Amino acid sequence: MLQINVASAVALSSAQKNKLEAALQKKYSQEQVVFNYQVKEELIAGLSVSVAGKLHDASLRARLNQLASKI
Amino acid sequence: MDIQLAQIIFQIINFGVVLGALTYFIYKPVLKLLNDRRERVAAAAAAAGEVMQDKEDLERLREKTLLKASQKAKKMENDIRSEAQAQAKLMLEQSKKEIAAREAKFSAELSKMKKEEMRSMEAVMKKAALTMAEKVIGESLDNKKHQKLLDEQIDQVIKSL
Amino acid sequence: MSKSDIFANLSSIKTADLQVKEVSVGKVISFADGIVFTDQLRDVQSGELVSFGGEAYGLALNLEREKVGIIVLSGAEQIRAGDFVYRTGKILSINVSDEIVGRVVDPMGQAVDGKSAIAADKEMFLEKIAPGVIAREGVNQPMQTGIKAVDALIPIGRGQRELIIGDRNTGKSSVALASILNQKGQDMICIYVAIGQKKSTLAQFIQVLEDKGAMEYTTVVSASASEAASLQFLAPYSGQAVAEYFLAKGKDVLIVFDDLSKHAQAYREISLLLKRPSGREAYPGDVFYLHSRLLERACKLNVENGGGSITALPIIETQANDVSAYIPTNVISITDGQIYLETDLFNSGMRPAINIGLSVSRVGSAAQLKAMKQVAGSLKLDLAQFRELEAFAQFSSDLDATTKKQLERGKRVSEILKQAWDLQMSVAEQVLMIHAAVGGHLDEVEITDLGEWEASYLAFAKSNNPKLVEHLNSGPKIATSEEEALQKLIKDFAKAYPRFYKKEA
Repeated sequence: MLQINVASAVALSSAQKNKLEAALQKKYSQEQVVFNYQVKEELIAGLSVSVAGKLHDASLRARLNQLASKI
Repeated sequence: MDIQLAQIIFQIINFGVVLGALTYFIYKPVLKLLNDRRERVAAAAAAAGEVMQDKEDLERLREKTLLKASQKAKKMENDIRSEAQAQAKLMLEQSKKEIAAREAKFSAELSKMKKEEMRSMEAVMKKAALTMAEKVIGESLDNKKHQKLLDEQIDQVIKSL
Repeated sequence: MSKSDIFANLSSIKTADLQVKEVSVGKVISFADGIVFTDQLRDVQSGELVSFGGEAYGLALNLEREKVGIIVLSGAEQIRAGDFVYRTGKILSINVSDEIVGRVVDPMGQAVDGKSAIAADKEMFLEKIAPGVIAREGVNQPMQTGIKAVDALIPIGRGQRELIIGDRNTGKSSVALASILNQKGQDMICIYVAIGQKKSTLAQFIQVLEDKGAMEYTTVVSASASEAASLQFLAPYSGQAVAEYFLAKGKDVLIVFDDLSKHAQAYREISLLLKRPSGREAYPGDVFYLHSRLLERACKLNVENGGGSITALPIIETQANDVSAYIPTNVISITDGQIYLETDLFNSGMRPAINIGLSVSRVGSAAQLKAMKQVAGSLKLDLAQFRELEAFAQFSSDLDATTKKQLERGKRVSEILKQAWDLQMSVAEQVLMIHAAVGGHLDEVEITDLGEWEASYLAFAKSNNPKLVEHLNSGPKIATSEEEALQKLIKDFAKAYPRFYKKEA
């Protein structure tokens, strides 16, 4: 069983959730996936998805951190 | 006048004896004394003359020595003076070098400090910029914008899968 | 850096390419005693630097199927259970530049002496494979410690590893300190690695170095007793990395590890907390490799590779003079010899308390100056004979004249090997003293006067025949002409200072 954690700055609408779940189900088709949604304000805006030791962080917080390390 | 020959002869003999005794016991010693005295005086005079001569020699020697000494003193004075000057010059150069070295060190340290300051200032500026960005963006987003962002990002995340 | 540079950096923001990338993360499962266990983090490398976000960094050591064991290097107070752990892709390294000489740094390369940060020139890896056999050369230059007993009987060469081993309070750090102080003007860079020491002891040590002007060529890497075991574990490797920076430039480096016993203990602590299996004396199975990979990096390189050298003086503390314990035997088999310090000798006034019989230098006279080799041969013989007869010393009134003479000679020879820790002797001074002792010229002098005799004789020699003294300093063989000059010197001294010599009854 694979746990997928989705953290966002504000709650996702059901349409968004469905879109995400569909794509992730397609990638991890051989396993049973469980979705865990969280609201984290420190992300400022956007969302981050972490699954099986891989993090896809699209939030603004992460982008600002990337910028900070660039300069 | 009853001059008796015997008395005259006796008187003459007496006189002769007295004269002989005088000559022997007084005249000769006195002469000897006078001669001795004369000799002594002459010796003394000669000695005095020698002493005078010696004194003159000494005087000359003294003058010569004084001259030599004063020359030596003058030479030493010159030597010392020139050496002191050389030393003073050396010390001046050394202190100049030292000052230059110290200046160089100070300016190196100063530039290092400046660099440090620049670096820390840069860090402060970066942090300030980031906090400002966070604040501004966080407050300018309303629900609609959030949702739009989320839509965009979901697409991006799906692309990166 | 001018203002325009800063703004040039900032303009790169415009061109920054921010894409959503896939990064490898793990989550902190447990954090206790400076060890973090995370799950996942599947593709992390062993010995890789990992980040907990912010300024918190760790070193991934235990790679297992279900979890990764990480030792925390900095920022421990920011780590919470459930935090993400990110790979940095970098192997642990330290930033070194020429500025590091004269500074006190921690194992991560940060300055801890309160002065400015150290500029970065090159990134030196903490873990590195030692130079191969072809790149090396035999040790042929002496590393003068300034201590008579060491330079004459246990000579150390540049590129050698010589262990200083003894109980506590026998003067191990003093031997190392004397060696560092004697490197003034010898074109050597010194590195002192303090592992698990009291900060007060280290502060005193640094003060002495500064007072004697040794800080100009010395770097101190410090992981004191209150630092985390992970930093104590890394400190020797950081010191070695700094040494290799200068080695690559063809310089000669002296590195002192004070001490490796505490280093092994810190590693034992980390290994036990990482749940690695323990072996003898609870040390992990690779405690030999811990020290061998460190000490093998001390070497002498041949000319094609720069001709530099790293001389290592590791220090090990024994308990109750037991050199057959685990760690001491390990390190003895790794190093090229040991200097063995004994408590009994120390307490009986023989300082440095070197046991000549048990101390050895496997490089030996290949790295000794010829003049010293000449006089040291007779010294060894006299001392060996004296040691044999020492047991009879209490009955000296019942012995024959030859034995008595040998005893007296041996006592005086032992006496001149005593030396204060802050008195560094040049090669010429050592040769003069040993030559006087083995030539029997001290047999007339009272043992209590020998210290004074030494000081007066050396001053006399320097003022009377400075050319000879200089010639001895450069070290070529003592020819007959010089031998005669030396004899004459001693005779002149005896005439000038008759108060040292016993009045003939």
